[in-house]
Amino acid sequence: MSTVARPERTRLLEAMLEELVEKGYPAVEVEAAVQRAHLVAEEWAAEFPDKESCLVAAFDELADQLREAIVEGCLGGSDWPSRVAGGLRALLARLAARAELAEALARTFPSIGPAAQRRYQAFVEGLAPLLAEGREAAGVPTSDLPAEIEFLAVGAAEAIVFEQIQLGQTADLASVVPEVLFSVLVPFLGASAAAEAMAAEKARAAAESPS
Amino acid sequence: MGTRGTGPGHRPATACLLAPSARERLVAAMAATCAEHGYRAASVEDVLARTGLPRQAFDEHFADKAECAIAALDELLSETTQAVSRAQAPEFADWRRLLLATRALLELLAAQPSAARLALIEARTAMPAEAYDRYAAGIRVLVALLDRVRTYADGGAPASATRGAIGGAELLIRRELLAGREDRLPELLPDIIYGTVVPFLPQQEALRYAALARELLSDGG
Repeated sequence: MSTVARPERTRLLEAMLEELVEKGYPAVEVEAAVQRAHLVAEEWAAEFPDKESCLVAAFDELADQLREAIVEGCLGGSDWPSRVAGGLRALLARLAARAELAEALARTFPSIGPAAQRRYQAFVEGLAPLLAEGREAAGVPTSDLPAEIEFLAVGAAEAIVFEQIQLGQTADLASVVPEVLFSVLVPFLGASAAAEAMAAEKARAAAESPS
Repeated sequence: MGTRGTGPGHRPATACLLAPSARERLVAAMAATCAEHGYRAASVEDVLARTGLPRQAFDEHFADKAECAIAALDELLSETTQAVSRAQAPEFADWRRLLLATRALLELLAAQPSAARLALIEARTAMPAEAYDRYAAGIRVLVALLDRVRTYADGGAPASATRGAIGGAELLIRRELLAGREDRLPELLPDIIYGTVVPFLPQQEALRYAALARELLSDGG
């Protein structure tokens, strides 16, 4: 457990991920991240003995923040599809606002090596339990649904979001919320109900659009 | 990245002695090394240690680590395309083609877990851009396969639904590969079939195809 003030720690860890994206894993250094975050080097020397531990802490911090944002986003909806939509909006808005962190999360950090890939996979898989309520909302008996249904839904969202990031379209992630929503809901609700929810989300986004 | 050893007319001086077995061994060893250490940490020396071949043998076939690793991707991509094509016999209905192609793909990945890891994990993020192009080409093969099912859709699914459906399967496959449980990949067939057709067909029909996949698994037909 860190004994250092949390906002400063968060600043350092975000700076570390930014350094990672800009310079690549071989060139990234904790010292440069400390400078970038405008912190005093001596205070952080003992906190992270090497860049690996700092990068892992940075990834975990980001993953925790995103998970919390999703959970918070899910609180407002009146039914399961609208709660999922709220979670997706929160996640994709957060990623779109910080493209460099999205790049670090999905591409640069996993590229470090097998342990980092397993960590990214664990983060994505860890989102699956958030969809468990979908089994009750399904249009067919729960016992008929595939055992891996939550993973099918989470994997669908990850693939679409990853592709947007890969294409350099992270800033536009909010625009794909309706499509991602369809792919997350469809294993549980079927195509017709998922398409209805997607249409409702599009209408909601259009109503909130400034123009 | 160089181009040595990849041109159709290329014949290294000692090809008659080393090719194709040396090249195949080097490619397989590169995939295994990347699976164990990750692409970034893998070295040509590791590959040579696995094969017992001299550095000269590597240099005769590949310009560098990247070229050898991409050759491993190309081989898997070629085998994937062949496996999918074999399941496209005109006498089969579309649903049976999809079932057989998906089963063949899962069996191929289970039989070559190192190459599968290279293609589905390393090529996504850790390798040069040419590797991502191969990964994307493999996805396009699967998208084309699923687009046949899409012709039965009522039009409600967005364009990205095909990519999403494949992404669901990918997450499951990556999970098993990262956990070293590649032997379980073929068992994923029913759930993967469900996930790939449910965006385009009525849900009950998707469940029926998952049941057919279970039957296919149990009778080996």
